[in-house]
Amino acid sequence: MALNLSGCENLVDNLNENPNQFTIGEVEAGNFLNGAELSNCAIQLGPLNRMAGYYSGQLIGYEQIELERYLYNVSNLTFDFDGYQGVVAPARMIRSREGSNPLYEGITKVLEAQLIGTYASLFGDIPYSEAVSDVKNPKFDDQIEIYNNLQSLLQEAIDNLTAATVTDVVLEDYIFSGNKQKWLQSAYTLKARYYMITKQYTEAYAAAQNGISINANSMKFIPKNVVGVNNVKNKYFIALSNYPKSLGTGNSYLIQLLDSTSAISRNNAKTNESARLQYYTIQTTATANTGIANELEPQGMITYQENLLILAEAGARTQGFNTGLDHLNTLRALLSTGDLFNASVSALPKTYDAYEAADFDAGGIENQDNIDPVRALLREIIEERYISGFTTFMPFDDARRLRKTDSDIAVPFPLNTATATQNVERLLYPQTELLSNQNAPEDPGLYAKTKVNK
Amino acid sequence: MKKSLLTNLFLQRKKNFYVLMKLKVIILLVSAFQISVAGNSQSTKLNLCLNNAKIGDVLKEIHKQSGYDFFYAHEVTDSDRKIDLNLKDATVDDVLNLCSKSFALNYEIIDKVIVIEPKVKQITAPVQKLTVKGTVISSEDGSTIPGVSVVVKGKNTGVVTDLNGNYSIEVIDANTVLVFSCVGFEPQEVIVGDRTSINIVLKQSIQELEGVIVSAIGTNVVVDQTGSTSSVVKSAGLIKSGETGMINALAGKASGVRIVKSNGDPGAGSAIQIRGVNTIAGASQPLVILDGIPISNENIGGVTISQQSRLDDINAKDIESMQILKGASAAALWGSRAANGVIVITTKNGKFEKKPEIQYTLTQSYDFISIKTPLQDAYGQGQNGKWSGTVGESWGDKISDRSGAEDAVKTTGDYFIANSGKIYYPITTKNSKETFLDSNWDQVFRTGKFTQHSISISGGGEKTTYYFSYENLNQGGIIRNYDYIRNNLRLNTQSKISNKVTWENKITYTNTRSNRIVQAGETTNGIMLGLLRSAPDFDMTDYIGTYVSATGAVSPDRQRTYRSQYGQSANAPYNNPLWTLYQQKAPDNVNRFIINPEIKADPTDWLKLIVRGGLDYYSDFRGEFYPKNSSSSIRTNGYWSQTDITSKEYNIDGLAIATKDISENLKLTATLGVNLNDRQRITTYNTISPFTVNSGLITTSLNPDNSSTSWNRELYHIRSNRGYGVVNFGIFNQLFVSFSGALEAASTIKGTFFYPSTDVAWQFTDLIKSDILSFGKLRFAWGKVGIQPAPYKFTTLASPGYADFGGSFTIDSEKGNENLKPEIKSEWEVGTNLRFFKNLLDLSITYYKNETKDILFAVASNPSSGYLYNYKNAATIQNKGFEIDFNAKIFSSGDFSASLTSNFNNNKNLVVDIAGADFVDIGGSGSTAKAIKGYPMSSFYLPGTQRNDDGSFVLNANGFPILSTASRVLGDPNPDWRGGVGLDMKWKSFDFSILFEHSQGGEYIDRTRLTLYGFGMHEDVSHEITLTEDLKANDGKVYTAGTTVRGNIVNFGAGNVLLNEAWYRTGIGGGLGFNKANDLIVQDATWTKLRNVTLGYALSAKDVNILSKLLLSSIRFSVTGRDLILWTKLVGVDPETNNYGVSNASGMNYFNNPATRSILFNLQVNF
Repeated sequence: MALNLSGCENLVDNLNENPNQFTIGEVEAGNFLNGAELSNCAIQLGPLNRMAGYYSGQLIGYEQIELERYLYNVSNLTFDFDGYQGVVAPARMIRSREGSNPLYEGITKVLEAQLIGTYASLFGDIPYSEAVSDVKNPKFDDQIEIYNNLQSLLQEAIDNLTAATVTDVVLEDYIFSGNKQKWLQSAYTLKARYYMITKQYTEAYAAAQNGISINANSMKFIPKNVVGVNNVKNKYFIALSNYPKSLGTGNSYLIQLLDSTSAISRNNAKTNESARLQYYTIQTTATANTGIANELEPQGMITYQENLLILAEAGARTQGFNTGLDHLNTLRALLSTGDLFNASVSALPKTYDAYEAADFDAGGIENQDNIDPVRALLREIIEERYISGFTTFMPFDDARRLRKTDSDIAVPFPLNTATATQNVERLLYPQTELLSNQNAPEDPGLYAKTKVNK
Repeated sequence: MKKSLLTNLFLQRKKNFYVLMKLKVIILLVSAFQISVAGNSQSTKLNLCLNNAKIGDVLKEIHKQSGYDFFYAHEVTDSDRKIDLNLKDATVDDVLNLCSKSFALNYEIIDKVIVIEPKVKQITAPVQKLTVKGTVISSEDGSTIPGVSVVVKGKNTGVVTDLNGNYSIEVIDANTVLVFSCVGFEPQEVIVGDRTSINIVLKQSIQELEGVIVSAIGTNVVVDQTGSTSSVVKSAGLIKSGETGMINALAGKASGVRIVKSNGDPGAGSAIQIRGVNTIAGASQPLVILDGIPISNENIGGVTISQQSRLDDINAKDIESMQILKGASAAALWGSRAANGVIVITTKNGKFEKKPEIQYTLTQSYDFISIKTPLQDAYGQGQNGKWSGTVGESWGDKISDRSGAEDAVKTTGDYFIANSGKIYYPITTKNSKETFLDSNWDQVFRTGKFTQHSISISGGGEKTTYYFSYENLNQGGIIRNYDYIRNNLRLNTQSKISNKVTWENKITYTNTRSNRIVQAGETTNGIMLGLLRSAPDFDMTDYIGTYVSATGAVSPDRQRTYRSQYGQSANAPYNNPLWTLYQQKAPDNVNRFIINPEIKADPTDWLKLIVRGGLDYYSDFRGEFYPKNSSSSIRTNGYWSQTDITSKEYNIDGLAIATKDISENLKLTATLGVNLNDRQRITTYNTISPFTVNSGLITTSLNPDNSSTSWNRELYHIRSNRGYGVVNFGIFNQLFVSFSGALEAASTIKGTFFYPSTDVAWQFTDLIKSDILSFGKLRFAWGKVGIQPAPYKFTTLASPGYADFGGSFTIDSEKGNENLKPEIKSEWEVGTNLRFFKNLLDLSITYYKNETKDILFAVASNPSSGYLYNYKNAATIQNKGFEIDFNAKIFSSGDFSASLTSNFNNNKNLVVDIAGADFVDIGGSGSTAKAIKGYPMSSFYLPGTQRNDDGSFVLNANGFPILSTASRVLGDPNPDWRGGVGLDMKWKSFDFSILFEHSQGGEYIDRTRLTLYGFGMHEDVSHEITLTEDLKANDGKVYTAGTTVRGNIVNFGAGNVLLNEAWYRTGIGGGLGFNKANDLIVQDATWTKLRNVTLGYALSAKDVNILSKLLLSSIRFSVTGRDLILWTKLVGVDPETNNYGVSNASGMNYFNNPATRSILFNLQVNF
């Protein structure tokens, strides 16, 4: 029989080369960058983003799965860690193959830091130092250590980006079209964001000095205008197209703050939020949206407003009242231009007159309850962060950050059901990670504070 | 030791001996003696010293010394001749040779019996030609047999019986021996003697009844001599079941074989599982061998449309026999393709020397929905007890509380003009008490029907035979507008090119055309979501029309759904089911050729050579067309996808079979073979979306912009080749041992792999003689088989993605692996076959245990590794269990006979290990079904209620269970045991058969019910109760005693609580998503089905003259009921329906299509 088979293997050799797809090495590394960026957008602006909205009084889930999430009925099955594969893996692969181009180095490090930082904030301890490597069961790193590492990674990114010259070109960059300056500013603002999360306000203030300097430099996901194609549109629009009537802003705490008729309205003599209220309203029918959830409306991920508000809060905390107030007023001036909204609200009033110190003195329009003026300013800055940060993770991050020592100036949004007794402190580890990683810890649950907030 | 001859006959296995004995009886017409047992004609040495001995004395002495039995007529011993014998160490042959000369006797040694007969005397009468006439009838039912060949032995002359079984033949003299033969019957030889009329009763061939099976490589094997197990279903059994697809006809008929049709749709595929699930990534579907070559049994595609089984392309009426080789040893010759068992199908051939026989069959079937999901129509659409025409749920007002007047509408704003002309305005107050559950249902479903015509002609001459058939099946499914048309042609021929070479060709062509309907499962474009979720107070009749906005803007071809009651929404959350039926299209057209030529040569009497080729080619063109305004964000702008598949599999086998009797007691058969198998498939996916033109015409002109078009092509190519060998030993005609091995190389694996097997059969009844036990065999088999890796898994790939963003690459979520081995399944089985009371009872018991190691699949890896999946050899799965088949001929006398068949299997499945992982998704990501270490396959792994260690609920402050955030095993769908019992009866011209199938244990998860609780649509959530005590609801609200509320009362452990909307809709008691109290809907899946009941009436020409005048030889009418009754504790669902289609995942209902029951009328006419 052995004779029979001498030619056995020859007949079947070389038939298993994939005729349909390329191997990684056959495709130029840069061609993976857009994929990594778009994966990152999908994660930053997808279901995690909506849940952050539900758990900070901004959004309401109305139907079925969104209602279930809104009512805290989530399980390990609800979550995923797809960003390691979608963002971190290609970022590192590009870096390893395009090492001579510091622009690729810098961009991919920012992307990695952005993704990991978001996960660390939402989940607490996560795999990082051993993740996306040959280690089969990466250990879960300490959340605080991760932020330390991300600060180093971002510093490297800044160094790389700074070193990039005009000959270092990146053509495949959906986010900033290879604009080194914009990436550099995003890296700084991201550094500042993470210092805020770890309550290192001095460092946050310092980093934000070099952060995003104008609205046009904000890192945004910009939907494509392709008629009849939905998956390139605004992520909230997509969610509502896929599951009509599933969510909206309704009469959420956020909306009540903006609504001049509500008992907790933040409109005052210097402030008219009519335009922003209209712009922020998310209608339950996808196509009815003209504002923030309009099909073509860009969605901020790392923004100028965030940078200003980091400067404001960290400044007020570390540099003094006036520094904080100045930065807040810079934002208010920008708000009053309408540049942060879109044309649908151009006719509506947007009044954001500059605040003065007196407004925060006892009895002032922002200190009716006579608290310490610095606290009053911080309270206003934090409320502004809550409002300006809508559709980013900032309000959810702040709510958890401030709960321990600053609950007096935190935004007191209510719980979503009468039966709930606690606020969500973190999201649940994905089932896929828990079951396949032998180093995964037991899930501490929705209500366990992560290390930075302990 | 003397026994009657007849009893002894039944102990003999050799069929030819049986026939020979019969012949002797007829010739000699004597009372016979026999003396008993054992020895060997060559090895036994005799010492004889006899003087003047008569023949009788000699025989007695031989018997004394050798133990041989003798079989002779008295006239033999009547001879006065005498002989002197003085021999030392003589063989039996020596002695008999001497005697034969002295006494003018012939002798023959057959096994352990020596037959003695006088040398035929020359008849001295003058030679005169005689004409012999007669009729040939069947021993089975006394019917005449046309086409029996009547040949003069030793001469090449002969005739064939006519339509009425009559023959007339001229013979030369009284010594002429006539040989009567016909396929399916034992041949019979008769000496003419002085008779001129000889009527013959032909006995149905025992081989035909139970004796011979076809091995995996297409050769015949005597079943009593094999150590492995198989189940055989003959063509009659297949046809009686009345299934349009042949595979479903096997359901309930064989132990250890589980056949589950995914739903009642025309052509819907069936999952076939032999001895449990053996793999994770594939579907555990067996290899199908048609006339010696493997053919495609694929169900490619998603589950939202029922995918057709390519096995259904075969016309069941063409099948001569189908058998299932269950064990690894029987299948080992197919190497890495045989781990899931092998189904061997043999199609019919014409018969040599047979006049043309035409058979026409007409089947008319009516299919009815067997079970409906119970829905409520007491409460209207809405939430919190208030009507609303836009919400998804029916937790609205109580319909009987409405005024009953016409609905109040607002006529000043926007409105909808249905294509029927009727105008719909927005409802301001819902007043009407009308409900539409039944009318909505009836607009979607109907009585399914099919008409099947089948005609065949077969026959043959001296050198050539032919079998030609044509089948036409025209089926309209239970879903309106769903049709399935199949045309099937087959031509099978065999030609004797010379005495030693036969050439066989089998060619078949099938065309299937179907308009399928998107339906089951999680698609908002299907019928089931829209139908079952639709509010009871919404009439879906006017489903299409024009929406006119308040400003007068016109939007034509909008759909009207319960959530968009005047077409105000361009994107309907769920389709109106009528839109799915009449606006969407899913045409499918399949053309398939299977061609298999085979040349057999017998160069010497001990060697047989076979060269066999095979080509299975099909193209499958399927489209899915969604006009503008269909549901879902992607389809609402118009979406057409066209998937074209062409598949080609060719197979070449070369076989040499040598049979040699090494000695009287050692028989050897050796088979050597080589095989080359090549499978290629090209799939192209094309889509156009969005549409520029809003039209129902399926054309690429729907959008002239190239950017609206996408094109994708997938090539698939696997080649393997094998060399294989089998050696069978027959030792003392009672111990049969076989060894086989296949050495294989395949393109998807590096290196070669060897698949050995062995089996042993010992017919122990050769030693034990008993009146009760007629036959007994002990058997043992062991073998290794494999499962090939999927192609192209060697390296990690760059996946194209983000096409609409201009395109980019991503690193594939699945990590490649260079070091793949085939999955190897090792199986051993031990068993016995026993037949009692002259074969009236037949019992087969097998215990088997198999373990599949190195199971290949994309292991869910921890995402932090950078890959979501890692394709590797990773898991071990085990199956073990008993298989019992018991058949009994209960009664047989005169006109009446009855027989019982039954089978049992208790397969226990276990996922022994999953390397590095605790679970694997097997029904697609996010499904209920997982492979979990330490649990049976397809266990339900989901979140559920939180429990304390003692199993009691963890309760919230209001006394309600809370959600556990971690998933756990909530149940598994694998039954404890399954079995079938059938009864066949015959009385005169009537026949009746009935078959029950039972499945004990296992669980079913009815997620439709859970979801409909949330939607307020299930009957369970329509109860109105008046409270006798204050009760809390899930939201903490207290309902006081005396109030009448909608809900149910339950005690979860902290006293009674009220389950109402706050539990079912906004709590974890119902609705969409997996984060629910899933454990509360897991139920015992035990069921019993009346699988089949048939009543037939047959007439043959010999009974009814008019038939022969009409040139008909026989005619049969029958009526069959299929799946008529289902007994189960489950409500509203057939536990056999499966959301996952043909898959290893099972036991889940998520808006599955309803199952059906059918009544079929059948007419069969033979010319």
